[in-house]
Amino acid sequence: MRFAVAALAASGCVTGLHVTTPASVADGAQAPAFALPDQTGHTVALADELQRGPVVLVFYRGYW
Amino acid sequence: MSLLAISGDDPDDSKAFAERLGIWFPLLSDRDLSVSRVYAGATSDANALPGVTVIDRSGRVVFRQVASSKDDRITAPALLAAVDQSLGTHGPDAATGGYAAIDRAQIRLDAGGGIVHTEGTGVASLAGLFPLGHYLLVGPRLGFEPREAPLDVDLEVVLRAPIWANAAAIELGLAGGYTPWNDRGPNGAAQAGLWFAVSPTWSVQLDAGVALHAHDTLGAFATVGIARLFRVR
Repeated sequence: MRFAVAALAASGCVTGLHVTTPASVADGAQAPAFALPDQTGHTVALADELQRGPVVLVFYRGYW
Repeated sequence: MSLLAISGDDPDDSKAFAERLGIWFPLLSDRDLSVSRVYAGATSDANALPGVTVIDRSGRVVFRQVASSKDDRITAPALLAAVDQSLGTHGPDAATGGYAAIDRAQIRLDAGGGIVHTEGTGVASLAGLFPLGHYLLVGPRLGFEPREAPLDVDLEVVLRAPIWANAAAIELGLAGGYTPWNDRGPNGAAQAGLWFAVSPTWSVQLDAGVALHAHDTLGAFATVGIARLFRVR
């Protein structure tokens, strides 16, 4: 886990940003539900992950 | 704890990225950025903003960080510290304010065996311990030993040396008090042991020591126990 976080943080996926639309989630609020496909094609649902414990979401700009 | 990385990449790109970096955790494809927009925001050129959101097991957002520039991205140590603090996990010098397991009050239940008058016996105890810094726990303790001392009513003091990034400690415990039945009179006990947190809210402890009761009843014992940890500040 710690290695993974470090690897992502070090991967340098951030570049110059444009005008932004701020997020609508606030600290302390319930996290909005979602389900998205992973790199193997399986759908991962936030609710399922929360059944197993806390979740860290890392938003990154993609592979380029 | 789960780690989910989310981008606008399609699954094939994510697969290539995962293979290139040896990533084992899910890289989720948020093609229309609908999730990214909600959690991190998005730029006018249809990119998600880099950011991190920590969600506790009840589904509550407990930490958020969104990068506003290239150099603003949260560093790995800062993120790990944020995770420690917001989820109550323990980490190297990262957890403050009562989140770290070692900073929490404990209700301990221990049980084991021992020797009194050269005969085997069972022992058990229940203690409520309050932390006074990293090095000291104090609180009431009820002890049980069926042969000589069915009830000890004690005050316990635990001196401890934190190890393993404050997730464990070597302990020296001293207890003293009164035994109202059978071997009636004052009692005292000394024990040494190892305590380690298995989560922010549970720990396990192993102890061995000696107990002295009125009328010179000296016993030796070894116990294993669990503790429920409570945030106190």
